[in-house]
Amino acid sequence: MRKSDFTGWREVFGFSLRQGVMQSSYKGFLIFMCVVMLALMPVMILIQNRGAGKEDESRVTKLTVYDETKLPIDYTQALSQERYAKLQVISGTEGDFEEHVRALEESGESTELLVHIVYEEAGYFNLTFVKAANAELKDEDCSRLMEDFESFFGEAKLRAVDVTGEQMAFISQDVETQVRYTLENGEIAPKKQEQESISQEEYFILLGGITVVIMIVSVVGSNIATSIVTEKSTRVVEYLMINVRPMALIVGKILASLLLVLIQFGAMGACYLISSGICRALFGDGGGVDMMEASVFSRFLGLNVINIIFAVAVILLGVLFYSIIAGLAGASVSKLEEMAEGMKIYQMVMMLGSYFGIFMAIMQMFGASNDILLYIGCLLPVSAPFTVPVYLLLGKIGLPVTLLSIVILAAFTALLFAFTARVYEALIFYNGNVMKIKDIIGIAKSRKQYGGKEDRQA
Amino acid sequence: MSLEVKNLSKKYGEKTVVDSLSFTLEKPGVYALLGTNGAGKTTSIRMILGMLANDGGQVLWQGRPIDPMNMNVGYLAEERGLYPKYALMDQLLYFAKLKGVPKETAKERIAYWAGRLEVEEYLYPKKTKGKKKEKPKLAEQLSKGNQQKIQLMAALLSEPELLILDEPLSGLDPVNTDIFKGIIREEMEKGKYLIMSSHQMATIEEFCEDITILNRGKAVLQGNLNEIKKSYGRVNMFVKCDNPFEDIIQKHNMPVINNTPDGKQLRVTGEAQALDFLSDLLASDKQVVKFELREPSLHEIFVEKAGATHEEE
Repeated sequence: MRKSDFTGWREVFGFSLRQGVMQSSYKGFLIFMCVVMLALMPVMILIQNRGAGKEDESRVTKLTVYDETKLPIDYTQALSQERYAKLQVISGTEGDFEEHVRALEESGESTELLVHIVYEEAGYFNLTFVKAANAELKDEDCSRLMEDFESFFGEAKLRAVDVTGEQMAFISQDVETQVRYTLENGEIAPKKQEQESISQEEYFILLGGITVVIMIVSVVGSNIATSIVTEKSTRVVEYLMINVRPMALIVGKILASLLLVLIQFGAMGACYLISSGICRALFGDGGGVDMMEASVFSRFLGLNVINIIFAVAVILLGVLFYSIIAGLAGASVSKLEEMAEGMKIYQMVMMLGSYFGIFMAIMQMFGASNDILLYIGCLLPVSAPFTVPVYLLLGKIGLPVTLLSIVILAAFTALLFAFTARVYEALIFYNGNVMKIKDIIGIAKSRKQYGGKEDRQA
Repeated sequence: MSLEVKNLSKKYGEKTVVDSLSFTLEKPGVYALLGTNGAGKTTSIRMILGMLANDGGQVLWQGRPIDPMNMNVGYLAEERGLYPKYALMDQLLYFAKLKGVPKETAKERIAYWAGRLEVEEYLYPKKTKGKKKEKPKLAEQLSKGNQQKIQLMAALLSEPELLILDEPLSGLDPVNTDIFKGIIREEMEKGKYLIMSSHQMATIEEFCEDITILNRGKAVLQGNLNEIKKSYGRVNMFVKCDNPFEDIIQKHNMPVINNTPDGKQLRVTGEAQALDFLSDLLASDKQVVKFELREPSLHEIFVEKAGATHEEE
């Protein structure tokens, strides 16, 4: 490809960027998103604090424990957490259980609970919680208390048989199971870096990441296609083509559209930082900002400078890949009214890629995924821009897979670029019905037959 | 010799749309590229400008293969257009920048051409005292003629050495036609090279010394317009008499080309036949009011050449 094929891209870039920024729809959306990001953190803190207030204070005011196990447990020590400050725990060992149930019903207390503890013959402890028929307590009021009481009882029954605190800590550790494979030399294979299943939080992060890339790709793609169709339908392209080559036109437009989207995301990020900074300053301890951020960022096990660079590289390559398809789709159309029809192929490819990424995330959350599916999703050029960045930052894939993905994506982008260079000139002057893929391939073949650009006199 | 087109060809699939077109612009002036609709004029212009790859032939500028990217060429396309939603000034500055014209120079030239083409009000929003400054005009707010003026400005902003005008006067009212003609004349006087395509034969005769008539991609007639006309000879005779003279026409067996209140146009084989005809008119006392013998017009030559090829095919 000759140097002059790209001459003038800077001018196209500058003009496209300026006109893009000046569009009222762009300015409006930018302001709207910035306002949303500025308000996001204060709103989240408000919701969290309101929810936390409700959650912290238990509505149960009295708990009577009827223990038939005869274990030496002091139940008045149970539920010592702050949220149970108003709760009275009573050891009700007098009389039989039925009497206690009757007393609960007759007392008219609507916020009282009774717990019956027995050791069943089948060999397990049974804790039955009872609330009065007219109780105001809902299931969610009881469930937290039941969890906490069960936890207390689990430890208390061990202490009742003289297990020390140190022994308690030891036997309370998590149990992890895994399957390892033997190598040909008889040794056990090293532990795998990639994990096959993901947590619910990771699933939502994956969905969020894929959505962001979809937004970037579709906004850049549709901007480019609209711009090309506008230039074709208004015949401005006739004037442009004596000053810049088609490839310079498309490169300038891609970079301008990409920068416009990055400005939007940059502004949104800056607004978020301002918002969280103000919240930290106002609430001292951050009002839960630190906790919220930590709970999200702790999931990004692969978050480091190198991985961020590679993730950005994959996104940029992906945007380039999809923008070239959008450019081709735009050039195959002659009228703005026909753009939706011309863009079908672009939208189909993008949906295929992004939906494959979402499908992978769902399969992984349910533990139904395997390495093959993960590698296909990360190496396929149509899905890699959506999957690789977020999987890499979550630490679900390593650098070798990422590098291979970049190589494949770059190779496909270069091939697509070469194909576009071959047909774009004919497409840009084409005036008629929306071109089909077979027509475009036909043009590429005929260009090869007649020698293509090499015959140009310049 | 400044512009030389040698055997330029273009095929779309199996169809040849331009077939070995050759012509030269040896000195500054306007060269006419004529042809019926679909004759291949615009395709030829696009190939000359390097927009379209050719399938054979060469275009030389000052003896070297032409590279419009690295030379100063202005182009007014037949299918004209501007960005409908962008400010006119922004578009003109963009087009000037693509041509490598510095911003300040571009602004000066825009101001000059805006005055010359009478479009200042669209490019320079007024500011009335006590009122908000008007918003810059968008292309979609302009009439077709005014949009055409803006595009001519875009073509002229770089002060091009070679100016290609594809149907520059189509759709213009008589006032704007005169403005455009004045500008074309000025460019000729500056020693510029112009290629003009038009269906208005009178305009071509007004400006062009050399022509090429294309039909179905082939050059069917080429050369200096005066020489072409001379080669046809003075075969057009215009006669008006106070008395009817059909009997004389029948006597000489002459075809009547046109019959108007201003007289009859007849085709003669040469000056001798015309003089015989005049002698008979005078002898029979037909009261001759008008007698004119001249070469065929470009319109007639065009119709003859383009029509003949149509008939052959």
